[in-house]
Amino acid sequence: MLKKLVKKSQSRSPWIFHLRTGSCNGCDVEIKAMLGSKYDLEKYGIKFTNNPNQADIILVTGCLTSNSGSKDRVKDILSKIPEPKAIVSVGTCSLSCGVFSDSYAVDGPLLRWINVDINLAGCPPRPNAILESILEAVNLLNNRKERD
Amino acid sequence: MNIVEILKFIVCILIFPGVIFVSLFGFILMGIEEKMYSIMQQRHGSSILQPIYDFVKFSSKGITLPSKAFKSIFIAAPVLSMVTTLLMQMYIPIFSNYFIWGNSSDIIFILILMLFPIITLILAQAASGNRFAGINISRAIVMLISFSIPLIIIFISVVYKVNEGSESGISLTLKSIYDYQIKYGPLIKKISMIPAAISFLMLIPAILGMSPFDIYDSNTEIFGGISSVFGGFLLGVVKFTKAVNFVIVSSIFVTLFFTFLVSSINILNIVVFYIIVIIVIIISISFVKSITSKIKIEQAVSFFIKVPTVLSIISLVLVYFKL
Repeated sequence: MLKKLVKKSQSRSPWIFHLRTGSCNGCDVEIKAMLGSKYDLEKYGIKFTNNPNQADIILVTGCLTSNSGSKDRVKDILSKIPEPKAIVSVGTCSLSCGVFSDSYAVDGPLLRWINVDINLAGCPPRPNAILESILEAVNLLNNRKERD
Repeated sequence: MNIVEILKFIVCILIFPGVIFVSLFGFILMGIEEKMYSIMQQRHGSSILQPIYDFVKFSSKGITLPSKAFKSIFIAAPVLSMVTTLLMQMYIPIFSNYFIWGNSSDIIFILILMLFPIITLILAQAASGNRFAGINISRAIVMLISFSIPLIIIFISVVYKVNEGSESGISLTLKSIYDYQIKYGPLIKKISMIPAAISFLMLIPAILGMSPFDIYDSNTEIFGGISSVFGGFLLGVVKFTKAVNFVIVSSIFVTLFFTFLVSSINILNIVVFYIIVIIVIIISISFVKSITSKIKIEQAVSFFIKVPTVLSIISLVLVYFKL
């Protein structure tokens, strides 16, 4: 019974950490739009947190700029998030760098450096698509916990 | 003390109105508050059980510590806060006039313990080694000082009112306030107590760290406020303390101003008590949260000095003139 409660609690309370790696702010604005009352994330128990220690799902936006150490900083932040975790890349930039590909200022795409669980294309993707991928990540986490 | 009294004592501490009841009711109270807030915003909102889900999820995780933290204080502070908050429940007269430790000057003790969760969070933040800790600590201390002044004046005016014309000296117990109201009716009926009650109602969101006075513990502030340094199990403990504190602070408010017996059946009195507690939380937190915007620390301090402090002083003056 306790195991069931823990499992239900884990699926009903996904906390999200938003990691920006150098986006043009398009995806970030869509994520903020998703936080409004129209999409009402709270009904799924979803909350945004500023501390990677508290997160279960990571939304990554941007194409990973070549600023000194930005790649290491991303890896460092991701290492601070306790397992089990799911990484969702939001926007074309994190998939292929989009309009910034071949730029001297870009170290990405993100897929080259880290393992991403769910890829969401779009420039920028719509808020309901982002919400759908978050719910997909919750399912993924549940399956992962069952497998473990 | 015979065996029945010992059993009653154990049941009171562990089950009702002790640890199990107060924690479950605290989480449900937090859930009701969130639900009412979302209804006021015309949203579906989270489930009433959401705080329980959050608590269970965090409790099932391990303890995560910041690398530069002073570990013993960082772990001890939230645990200490949880224990002292649970201890306060023993002073609140809910169960058939049953006080566990209500015979000495407990009002001073209650006043200190009400502020203890914030003090321990400040301690934990200081021990976290976080570079933003200084900002959060200074904000929390400024808020703590500014809202504790009217809080102290409210308690003084209530004690002064209750001991009016007393020949046996001043009694500083919650029991004396409870007995006075059972004898003469709830204190809210007295003209002198109305400003004090309004002032206390304004202070509840500040004591509980809720909007608009959540400046030191808000997700949208620098590095997410004072409880953001915690993760995993310790965050679960902080959430638990907050839930229990919801019940404690609102129960103290109801005990100070709204104590009355509806019938000779105890269960009915207890149900009425907790219905008033729920209404107090909805009015002072959900309603206020939905109609106010975020404010700066200067605005909050200025508000505490201009409104609750003035109201509590008016109450004290009215009590002096025996109104």
